Amino acid sequence: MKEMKMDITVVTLNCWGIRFVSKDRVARMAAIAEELATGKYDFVCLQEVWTTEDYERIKTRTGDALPYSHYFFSGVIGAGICIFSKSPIKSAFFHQWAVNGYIHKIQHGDWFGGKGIGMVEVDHRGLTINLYTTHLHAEYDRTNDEYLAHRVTQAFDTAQFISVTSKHADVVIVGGDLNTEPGDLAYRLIVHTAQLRDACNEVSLESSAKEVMNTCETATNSYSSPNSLKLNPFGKRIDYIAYKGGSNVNVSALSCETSWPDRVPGQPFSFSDHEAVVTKLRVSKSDANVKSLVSNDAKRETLEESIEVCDHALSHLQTSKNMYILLSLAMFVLLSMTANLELTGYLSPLIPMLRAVILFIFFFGIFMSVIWHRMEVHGILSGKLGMLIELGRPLAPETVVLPEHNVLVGGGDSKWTGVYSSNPQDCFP
Amino acid sequence: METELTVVTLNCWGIFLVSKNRIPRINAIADELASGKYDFVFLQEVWTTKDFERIQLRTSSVLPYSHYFFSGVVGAGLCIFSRFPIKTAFFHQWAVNGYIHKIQHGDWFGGKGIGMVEVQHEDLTINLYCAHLHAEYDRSNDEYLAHRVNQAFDTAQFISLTSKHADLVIVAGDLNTEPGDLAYRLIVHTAHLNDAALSCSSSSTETNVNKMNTFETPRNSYTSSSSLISNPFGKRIDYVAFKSGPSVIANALTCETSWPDRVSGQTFSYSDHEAVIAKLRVCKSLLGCTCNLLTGAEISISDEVKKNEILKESIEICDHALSHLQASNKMYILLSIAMFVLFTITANFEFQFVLVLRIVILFLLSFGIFMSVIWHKMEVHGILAGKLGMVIELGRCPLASGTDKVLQEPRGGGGDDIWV
Repeated sequence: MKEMKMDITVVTLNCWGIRFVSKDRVARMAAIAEELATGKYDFVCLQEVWTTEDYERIKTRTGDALPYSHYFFSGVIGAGICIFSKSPIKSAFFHQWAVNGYIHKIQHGDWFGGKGIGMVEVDHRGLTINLYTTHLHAEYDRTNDEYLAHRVTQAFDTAQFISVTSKHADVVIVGGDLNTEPGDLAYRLIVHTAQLRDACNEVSLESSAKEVMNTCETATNSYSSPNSLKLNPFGKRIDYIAYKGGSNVNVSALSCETSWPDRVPGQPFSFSDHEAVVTKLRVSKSDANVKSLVSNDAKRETLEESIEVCDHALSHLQTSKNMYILLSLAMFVLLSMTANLELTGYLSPLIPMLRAVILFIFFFGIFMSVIWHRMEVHGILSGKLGMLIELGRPLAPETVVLPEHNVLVGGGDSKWTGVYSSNPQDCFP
Repeated sequence: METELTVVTLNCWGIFLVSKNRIPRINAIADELASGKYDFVFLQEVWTTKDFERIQLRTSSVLPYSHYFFSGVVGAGLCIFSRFPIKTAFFHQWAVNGYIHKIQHGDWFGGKGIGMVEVQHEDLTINLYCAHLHAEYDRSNDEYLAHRVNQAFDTAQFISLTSKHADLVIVAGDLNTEPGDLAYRLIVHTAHLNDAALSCSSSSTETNVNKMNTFETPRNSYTSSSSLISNPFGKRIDYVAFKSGPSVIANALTCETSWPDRVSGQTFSYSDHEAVIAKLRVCKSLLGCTCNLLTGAEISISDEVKKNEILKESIEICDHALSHLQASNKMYILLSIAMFVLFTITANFEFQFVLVLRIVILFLLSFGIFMSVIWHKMEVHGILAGKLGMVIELGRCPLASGTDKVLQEPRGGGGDDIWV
């Protein structure tokens, strides 16, 4: 590193750029581009930029201030994430998660985003900086979170990906919408497993001032609904900038704010339904290697809790697979029963239409129970195994009871007990 | 420290119900691995957990550490066994891997990608990578070339990004590409690896080169006579490759396909592939090493030139694929329209099998819509992402002025008109 000390300004924002759905999209994207073009920021992480049109809009407008950028293409409409940088991008890499919601949950739509974690390696004034941006699966119902296991698996995978790709980096900066609140399991997984510092936590604030750091459904946002404000009068903090320094590099957060104006200048609406998080980091040379700041206990507890979530999901998946099989059987029966039904007059096309729908659901049930089920099981199992290894638990062959594939595709899924023992006594010495 | 490491890679051909003599072969493979000769084992096409467990149980005393990479519907078929403790395991699935409807090829169901484990052996940090790229079914008309090229580039990038701190990197697997092919060059040159078979002086004569072949070889019991007509000596598509970190020297002492032609006492081979066994000598610290080869830190200028050529060739393949995908998308739309028309026409037909016919038509209609609306975009994005990565790797950082416009204009959320 040429300089002894330098400051880096980073911003992350979920831009809410869903074509046809997000309000005031074009005007807001233009306003976001204007703000980024001011040159205040060294690095920009954006999420929910779902159209290349919007990405190009921002790229063109910010071309002088942020000459280098990368959009991470993935899935059907995604991945919605992009990075802008003052300094040259040396490499870009995208890692898609194994699990990311369901294809049939169109009202939620996360699956179509092909979400994952995007990374660029930047050469910034002599420093090697790894920038990561990501957008985890949304939480639609906190009291009954059907996507918890997916988000936990995504969080662990994200933390691992950051760990394995950043060992040589001088600085690691992660900016994104993690869809998890401080203290939640997904949050702890990312922060503890990847050994990151949450910029907002690092900047000393009184607890009342912390509410100002909230980033979604905040009181000052024009798009916050009255319902959400009843539940969370101050909103919630789900967007973050996190960081760590490599060996011989010290990184600290000087400031962390949601400092963009409440309203786009001259307009009655905000820049997005999320707040932008702006952080100023100070990077300096350090003689000593910075010690791990997370206690082994905290990391161990987090991993154990995550393994439980995975186990719970895996056993639940057995049930849901059986439900899909039942669904297919039911549809088959319905199809046979309606074979000779006939309505008269103008209602007559209804029966064939109904039967087409029944047939479609029949195929859907087969697809979900035979193909989707296995993919989801493998995704979560893979995450769980990674967590066990991370826990330092060697895997004893005698206690291993792996899922048997069913006969149709190479095995059965009958046994789910004790998949990989987490009891230390069972482990191979 | 100075040490020797023996590694083996084998595509085990473990397809449930399809592969011949699967169980006795897997048992024989397990027995051979249990001999204790190997420090690291890389297996591909282990498609059932039963087979993985079979091998794991049999070899646990000599290879106490192992990991299976679960992915996709039946995969990923990859696993690694190690004499030394596994510290981390990570799997990266590729964005493109064949087609869901190509059931006769089946690669898509494997959820293929690159598996990595980090192993600690005394003061050596060793990264092991295992991969199995998309198969090549018709060399003269390879419909999966763009997918394999993307997989190869992604693999090379992943290795590069995750191994900068590693003392030793060993990459092994069935790359489904022959030496000199683009996918081979992408992996070897972009990730700066040494192909053990080539860097080994013992394999320089022609007979020895042919002996290094790993698939459809004349001595393999499963090789068909028709494949021997086109390739009398088979082809080399399974590899062990390696590189070393800055203060480490590694070289390949031997590289062979030395397992017996037949499982002992049987009429069949261990697999339809040959096992590749490499012995590496590794020396950490520049003082006191007895070998005098280049350390891993030195990359020659000719490597960079080669790399640029390879990347340019790969970008062309991606561009070609992207424009072809435009055409195939239109075909799927036409298919859907045709099926819709057929469905309407047959609404009032009455003959014995019209119901079955209409079910098939409806299925094809759904398939056409799914392929043109959903699959198409996923495939385009996968290849585009690969292309952009290659462009960046070439050192041409895309500038905002639009001179390097590689993105397409969306049409209704994703149009594919502009393909600069």
